[in-house]
Amino acid sequence: MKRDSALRIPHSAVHASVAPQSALRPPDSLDDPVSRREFLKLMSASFLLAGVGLSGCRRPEEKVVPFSAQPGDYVHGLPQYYATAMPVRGSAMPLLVKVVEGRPVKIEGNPEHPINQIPLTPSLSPGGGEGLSPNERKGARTHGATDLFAQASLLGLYDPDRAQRCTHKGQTVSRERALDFLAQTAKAGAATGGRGVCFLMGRSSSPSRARLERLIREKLPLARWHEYEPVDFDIHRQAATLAYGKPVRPFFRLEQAQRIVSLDGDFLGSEEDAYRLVWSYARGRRVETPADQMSRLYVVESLLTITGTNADHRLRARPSQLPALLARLAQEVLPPLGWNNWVPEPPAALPAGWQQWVAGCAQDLLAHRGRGLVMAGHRQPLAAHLLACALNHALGNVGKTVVFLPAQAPEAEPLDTLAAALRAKEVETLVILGGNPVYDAPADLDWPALQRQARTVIRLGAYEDESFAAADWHLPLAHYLESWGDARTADGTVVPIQPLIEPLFGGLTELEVLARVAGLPAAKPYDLVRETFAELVNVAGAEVRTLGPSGGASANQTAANPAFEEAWNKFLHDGFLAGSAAQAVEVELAPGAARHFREALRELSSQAPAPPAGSGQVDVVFVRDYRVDDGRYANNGWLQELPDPITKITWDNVILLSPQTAQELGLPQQSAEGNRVLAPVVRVELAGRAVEGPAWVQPGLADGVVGLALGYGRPKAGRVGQGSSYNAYLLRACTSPHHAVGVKLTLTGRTYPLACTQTHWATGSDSQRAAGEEAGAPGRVAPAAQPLYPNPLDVPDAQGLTPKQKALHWWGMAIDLNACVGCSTCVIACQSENNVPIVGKDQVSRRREMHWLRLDRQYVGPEADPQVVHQPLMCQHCEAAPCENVCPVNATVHEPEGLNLMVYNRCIGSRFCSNNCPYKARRFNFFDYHRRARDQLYRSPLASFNEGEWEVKRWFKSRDRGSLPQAEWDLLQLANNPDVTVRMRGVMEKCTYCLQRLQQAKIAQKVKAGPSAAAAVPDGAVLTACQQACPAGAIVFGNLKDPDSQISRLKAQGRAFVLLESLGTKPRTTYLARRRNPNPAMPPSPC
Amino acid sequence: METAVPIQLAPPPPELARVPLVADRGGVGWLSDTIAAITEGKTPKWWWIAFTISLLALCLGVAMVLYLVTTGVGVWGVNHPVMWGWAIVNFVWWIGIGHAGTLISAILFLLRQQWRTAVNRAAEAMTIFAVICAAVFPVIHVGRVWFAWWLLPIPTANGLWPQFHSPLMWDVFAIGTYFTVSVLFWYMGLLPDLAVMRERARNKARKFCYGLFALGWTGSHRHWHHYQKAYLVLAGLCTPLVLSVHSIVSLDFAAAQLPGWHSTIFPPYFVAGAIFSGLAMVLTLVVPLRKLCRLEDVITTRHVEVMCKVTLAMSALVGYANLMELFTAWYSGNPYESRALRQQAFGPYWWAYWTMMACTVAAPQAFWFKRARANPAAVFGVALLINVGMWLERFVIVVGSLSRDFLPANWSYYAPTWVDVCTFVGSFGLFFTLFLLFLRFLPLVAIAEVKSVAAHVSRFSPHSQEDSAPAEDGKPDAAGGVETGAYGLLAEFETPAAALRAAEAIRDQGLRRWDVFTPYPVRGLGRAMGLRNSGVGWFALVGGALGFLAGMAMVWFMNQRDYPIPIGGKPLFSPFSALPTAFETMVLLAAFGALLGMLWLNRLPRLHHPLLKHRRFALATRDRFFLVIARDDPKCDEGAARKLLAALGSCRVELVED
Repeated sequence: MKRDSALRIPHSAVHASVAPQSALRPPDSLDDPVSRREFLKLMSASFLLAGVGLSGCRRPEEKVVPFSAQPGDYVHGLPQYYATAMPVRGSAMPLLVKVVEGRPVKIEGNPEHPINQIPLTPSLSPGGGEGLSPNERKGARTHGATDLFAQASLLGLYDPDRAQRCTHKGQTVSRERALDFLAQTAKAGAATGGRGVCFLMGRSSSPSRARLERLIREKLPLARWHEYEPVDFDIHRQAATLAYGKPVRPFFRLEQAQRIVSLDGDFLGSEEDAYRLVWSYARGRRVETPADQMSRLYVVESLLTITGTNADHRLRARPSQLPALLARLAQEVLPPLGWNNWVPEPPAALPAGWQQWVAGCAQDLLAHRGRGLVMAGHRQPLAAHLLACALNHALGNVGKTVVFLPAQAPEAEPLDTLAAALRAKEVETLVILGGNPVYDAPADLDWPALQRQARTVIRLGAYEDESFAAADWHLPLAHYLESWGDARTADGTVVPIQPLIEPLFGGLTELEVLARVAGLPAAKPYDLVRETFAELVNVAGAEVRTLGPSGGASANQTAANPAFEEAWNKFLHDGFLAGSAAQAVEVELAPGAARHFREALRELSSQAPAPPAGSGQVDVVFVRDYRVDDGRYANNGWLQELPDPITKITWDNVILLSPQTAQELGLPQQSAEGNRVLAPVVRVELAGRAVEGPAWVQPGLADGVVGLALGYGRPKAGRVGQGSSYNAYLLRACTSPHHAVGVKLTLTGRTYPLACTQTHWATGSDSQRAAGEEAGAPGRVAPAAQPLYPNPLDVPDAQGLTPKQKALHWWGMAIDLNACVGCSTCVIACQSENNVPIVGKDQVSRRREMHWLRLDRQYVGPEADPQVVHQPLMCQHCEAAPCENVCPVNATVHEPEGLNLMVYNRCIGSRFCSNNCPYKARRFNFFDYHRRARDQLYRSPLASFNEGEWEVKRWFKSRDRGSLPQAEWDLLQLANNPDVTVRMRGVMEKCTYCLQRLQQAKIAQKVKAGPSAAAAVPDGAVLTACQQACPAGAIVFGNLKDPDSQISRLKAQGRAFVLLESLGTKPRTTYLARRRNPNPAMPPSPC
Repeated sequence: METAVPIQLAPPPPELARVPLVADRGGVGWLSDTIAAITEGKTPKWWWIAFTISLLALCLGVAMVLYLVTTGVGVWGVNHPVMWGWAIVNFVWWIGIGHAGTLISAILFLLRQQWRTAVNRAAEAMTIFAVICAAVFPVIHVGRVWFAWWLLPIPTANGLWPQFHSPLMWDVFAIGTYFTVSVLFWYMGLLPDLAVMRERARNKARKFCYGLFALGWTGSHRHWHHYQKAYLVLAGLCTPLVLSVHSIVSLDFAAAQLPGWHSTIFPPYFVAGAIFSGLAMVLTLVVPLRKLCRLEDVITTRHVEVMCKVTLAMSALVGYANLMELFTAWYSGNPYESRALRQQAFGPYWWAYWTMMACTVAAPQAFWFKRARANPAAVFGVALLINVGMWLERFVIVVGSLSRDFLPANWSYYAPTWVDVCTFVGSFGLFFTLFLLFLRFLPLVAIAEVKSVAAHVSRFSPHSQEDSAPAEDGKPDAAGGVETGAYGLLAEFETPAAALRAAEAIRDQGLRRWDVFTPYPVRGLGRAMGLRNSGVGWFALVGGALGFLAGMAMVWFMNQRDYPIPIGGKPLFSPFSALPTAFETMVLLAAFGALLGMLWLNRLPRLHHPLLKHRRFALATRDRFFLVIARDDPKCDEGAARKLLAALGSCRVELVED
């Protein structure tokens, strides 16, 4: 590991703007006495700090090379940024990670990565892009889009529940013994050619893993490979490959599309690489003037998804009704395009009223040939995907709104063949890398028993979870932030995975275990990745041509090659291999495509028409959860506590029902106990299996559907994830992994408490409507009257200048509700940046969640089928802030640049500020959330006895120490951002506009400008955490004093409004009203 | 002890017949006996039972506070929008109760409502204890109790001052001043009674304690003269103070933006509500007390009835304000305001709203009927209902408004936890523990004041024509000639009329160093003694002016001069937002001026007075009137004086040792 710290390449492009080299002059060498003294001074000062504020700076001195010669880029005390990537299923997300004192503290997207650079879309703006702001014209790029899983993965790194030991039959064994066993396995496998060896893995885009797989296949030809993902996106590739006759996968370019039809495809939420799709979709929705065009989104779906909430036209349909609907759409669209030779199937039967919808949608698509897009979601069957392919092809969208990239056809087999092999007792050694099949395998396989059929099970797992007990050997999996690896992003670009910290619990990577099981000579992931890279650059040929014909053979050879070293360093520094993106391939329909399409259409249109809603037939839909994915993030407190973007429920999943379905079921009204919602527990039976969970009436659902979110109800997940409501996997069968019909619902008569952060949602009451209008329609309320007295910031001093005039910046924020899709990434980004604590389900159910940034969900329209506006809401930084007037101790005050400051040290906790905040943007530390275990919050330290010591005594010894177990405490200390105070109980807190980032940018600017000049921070040089993370670019922060800044331009828009303007609080945060783009030829909603 | 002389009065004409305020069962001395007996006899069993329960409740409260402070405010039911819960409800409720005492003492004093005398002491004590209970809540409700002292305008390690735009700072000053002035007022009223207790004390410890706090009060009319002036000034100061306190408490809400809080009706509404609940609490306490302490003849049915009538009037005011709030919300056309009021009445707390309406508006209507007013059980019941209703009123305002504010996404429900409930119970423990101790150790009724009222209906009125004859044993002292060690000549009178006439005569003699000692201030005696108008008022004026200027200067210095920092876009210093603070400092210093001025002018406190050694002089605090001529008066001719005094009707004239 010594090597790691020396070889990781910090991402200088970012920290140059934040932390210039001259801020603290680094000593050139230790021989220079002056600089050495300076260095020692700095070091001792920061050690002092470390002792006070951030105990436990994890740079184990015996393992990591101390800075005897300080690296050139390193300035002690300033954060460093490293480029890395988070691998997710068949893709990856390019990231920059902020590292302070050797520990990662914040995850951000990598803005340099090509996937975050989306070309301009002149076709969208009539004037060829004249409607775009100068900033946008300069270069359309995100700040580095991320999703909430990436943001929250930081906490996963410091999870004390992670697997920390090697075990054999549940007993801890030494790491050496476990590795010895792997070597033995390798030896035994080599002897038999791998007979009886089975690998079970998740999907991966890692070139190194693919290369290893190839190598092992040569070595162990008889070994069998299996891939399983409970939520799998491979269907897109399967359909495209079938249609075009070669291995390709679709790559959607939503920014080019003016008409988007999504068939049960939640591309803004739960599809793969949603962060990229959000960004490209939001590009197409960006408007500056009322004349600007924006794309139109049609959504057909069963549940209410994030994509559905953003739809201009949304049709609620049960899954069993979707095939007919899609067939009908094809029958409407294809004949006018000349594809009529196989269309005249009998027209699909549609429920009354839908015909008009489908026809309108079809007309719109036909009117926008080459500028439309039809997408099917991953839950849809192959036939639906094929038909979507056909529609896109016929409409001429291919190559424009959707391109096809070469894709490797996975050679691995699915899970059911492994199950058959296990059943036949053919498996000697089962190697499970990642994954948690005991929990998430289809219920009809009876996996827990099946896994026992293998003679030896070796599992590499991140947690000692459900699959732990069924494994003979268990190895701890390293987090991606502590591993070497590589991956490909959605566009095919190769990205490195760099470790940013020594593995906290001695974890192993997938590559390492794979190499060891195969008995490969070089088992170090670092070497493996370098070897792969050597092959890649050689094959790609774009970057390094000096490697010679034998390049890539071994790391040792290439290491000597300076050109390779340069390429490698650039790869690590940039976080991607330039030019490695997959090139779109020209596609032509395969000879058999027409047959496939015809069969697909026949299959869809011939399905027995689904009985209408209300007939008693109920369909079930299994969905990837917005927060815990398929269960893999169940032990992540940030994600567990994140309110679901739709239901606003935390810590649990629910059984979703539409109001009408609930009524038909005779579901009793939800009762409440305080703010704890007592949801009636419903028993859901499907094919002889049943689960019981809390029912939740959700407006906007199709009638006759229940939605079951995966990933909860985990019997063994860790301290955070355990014991939530129900496990939907128990109903899932191999044959119907996504939806099924014929569900039986019965009431159990019991109730289950839920913690929901927004309980008041019923539409219809005038107050609700007012709130909805307030979010959507500007200018409804009268502008505030002029105040009777001048603001002190507007009072001129002796020189005739007011403090406001003297201020270099007038900070302000604009949130484009048109761009915001409601994905909630900003919430987690804020939580990570600002050390916002997790409070636990009980506290959330008492409405004490601490999120500085929340998303208010506003319903507009009828309860059965409302439109939804997501409104991110944080401190509005009012110029006439009502909170400040009422604070008796000057704990919340204003500063000339317009920030409403919260001074924790002064706060005594009278809480008047929160009462007087009309936005209720302030949060109060009711308990010492940072220092106490969530299940001990109500226990007085006077009566607590933890780890053999009375709490009071411990408090006297160290006042900063909490009552958490020491190990957990140390880890939590590491996860905290050292730039932000950790708040104690009894103080108020709120959004600061990321004050720490502003200060760093201002200091950097001052340093750059020199001693005398006073210069404002240039536009775009400072990003708030939420802005940085937002994949849609909906949040813009900047200097209102600069008339050319993006924020000034946005505020000047006609859509701009401030919340509750009539109160005269003059917020610095502006909203840009939501606009919809309905098809005038269509009814807004058929039902 | 003298035997009481039966009083026979000519019956008034039937149309003028009124139930006397105090039943006269034997002169003013009887009053001393009756009232002091509560503290002097054996401790009754009911007291021990009540005290034990109170003490247990207090211990529960202390435990709850310990739990709260060590664990966090989260042990209460407060949540994100409802940041203030029971603690603030209890605070406002207790503070409201604390209004009746000062109302009865001060406002009714200015309005010359003599019935106040029987209940004002108990009401004032109740005020002080209620304010203590009230003050506990805002202190413990803050998140970091150990920093609550940052609310005081004193330098802290933070290097900055409190922020005087905040109504909470006004609260600190209003409640601080109110508590201090209430204690001063109460203590000043206690002074003559402490002297009574001192004279009655049978053991040394009691005598010492009472004597210490009586400050050497002798009942000198020269003292009474300044005392009455100070009392008047304090009453005059307390009247705006009592109105200001709840107005300022109401500004905690009215100065906020919240719909349901932001309302100009709040100050008068809160004051009316406070007086209403305070009177109800006085009734709740007095109705059983007069029974338990056998005070039916001192606190008569007529007192209870009068208080019922005032309560009824206050109920009408509160009811009017309640309805007016609804009307304003509708009439203003402000959607948030009307929604807030609709939510109060029909939202999740509808039960609280309608119970409040029933208890505070409907229930007191029973007081229209004399039968209800005269029935102690009925009065007690209605008073209890009013207490409950007024608590709910604060609950509706605090919680009802907070739980339903501007943006529906923030709405939530508030429910108290067991800690909330137990803390509230604990505050009752504190209140009743203090009140029961007060009951046992201090006179429950203002003896001197009741005496002066009782005198109206008795032969002891200074204007009564009936003259008492010299007592049989009223022989002049045998000792002839003034000895060197003598202090002066002491003449005892049985009636105030006699003392008054004697004083006039002595005044006409041109004597300077003489005084009259009375158990209560006798009206007209000052004129009879030729005393000039008391200068106490000047002390109060100077104190008040200094206080006002100091208050303004303090706010200006702290918020504009020393640490100017923009707050909510408001001017750094505004006389308007500094006014509540300056007003309170003005009243505070004026009250101190009046009290200290009175003590200064009276040359009090003094540890010893020669007269106090005199065997008969103890009666000066009971029912006898003494005229004393000091020996060092230049015009004092002992022989002539003796003769004159005897002629003026003194029953005995004696020399007093120095």
